[in-house]
Amino acid sequence: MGDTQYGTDGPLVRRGKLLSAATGLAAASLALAVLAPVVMSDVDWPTAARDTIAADGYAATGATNLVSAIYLGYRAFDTLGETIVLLVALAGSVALVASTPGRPDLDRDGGPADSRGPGHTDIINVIAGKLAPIVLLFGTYVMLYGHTSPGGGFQGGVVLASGVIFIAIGRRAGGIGRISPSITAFGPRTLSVIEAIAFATVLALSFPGSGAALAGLIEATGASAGVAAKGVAAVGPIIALNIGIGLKVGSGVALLCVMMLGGDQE
Amino acid sequence: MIEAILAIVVAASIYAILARDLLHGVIALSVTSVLSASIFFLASAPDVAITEAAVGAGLSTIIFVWAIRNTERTDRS
Repeated sequence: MGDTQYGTDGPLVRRGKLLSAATGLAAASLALAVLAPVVMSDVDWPTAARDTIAADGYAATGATNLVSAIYLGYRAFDTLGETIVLLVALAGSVALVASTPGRPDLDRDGGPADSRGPGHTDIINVIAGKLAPIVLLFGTYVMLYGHTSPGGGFQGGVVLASGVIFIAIGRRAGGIGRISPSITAFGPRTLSVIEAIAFATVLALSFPGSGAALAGLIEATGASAGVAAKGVAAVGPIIALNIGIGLKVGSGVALLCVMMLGGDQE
Repeated sequence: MIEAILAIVVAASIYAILARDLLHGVIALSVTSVLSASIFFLASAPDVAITEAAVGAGLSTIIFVWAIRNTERTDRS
């Protein structure tokens, strides 16, 4: 705002700053005028929706964590929309990162540049090597236990992406868990395949009736094996959605960050 | 307790706007996210707290640092 063609000071710039300050003040007072009567009134908050969900949430969806019951059971289409928005945002960001002209070689500012890869120090070696598997394990736990304890698909997916970023930071050149000469465990291609399969699963589960079909399938499988699977079957769609969303979010965000760290140039 | 944390959040946000060194501003934003996550936890919203901590203090900071690395580190205005 300061470095304009009119110089960093002068009547035009001062008027611009005054205008910004006045606009900010007007916006703040408008927000206060809207919120203050709501927050400071003596009328009780309406509790009809809260009481209904608290009474029927576990019976209707099978999930003890009522937040998961809401956004994966009662309002699952909202979650589908959010997943689609995240997919589009990640696709755009990955395209933007991939087209960055001449991404900097990662030893530009004096890190210990050797064949081990981007800026290796002892701290990064410890974090990447020792903490990454623990973070991945914790992310999987948060993703799978979303229906009984705080967590779920989005949370677990983001923690999984953090674990993969640890690995991408500390990798040796040409590493990231190379399985075969053309496949790496956490490389861009593997991550995009995982993301596509997970998103297809979420889409398949959002067709009307597919959740009930999955629950019926689990119940029938349990009956044929002699196990009463009624309670497990009811929460089956929520667990499946959690896994699908978690893998999609985790691999998508990890793909973006791996590309930012230069993982697709090996 | 929540009011004290909110005061620090406001201070960190103001510093993030006015900092000359953009990396310092990004770290201030990360501090804002971590403190917001603790406020969410104190307000009995653990799901939101996990999401805010992982996204705000983790991924958002990584993306900002990568953007600074590709451009400049000082605010020219």
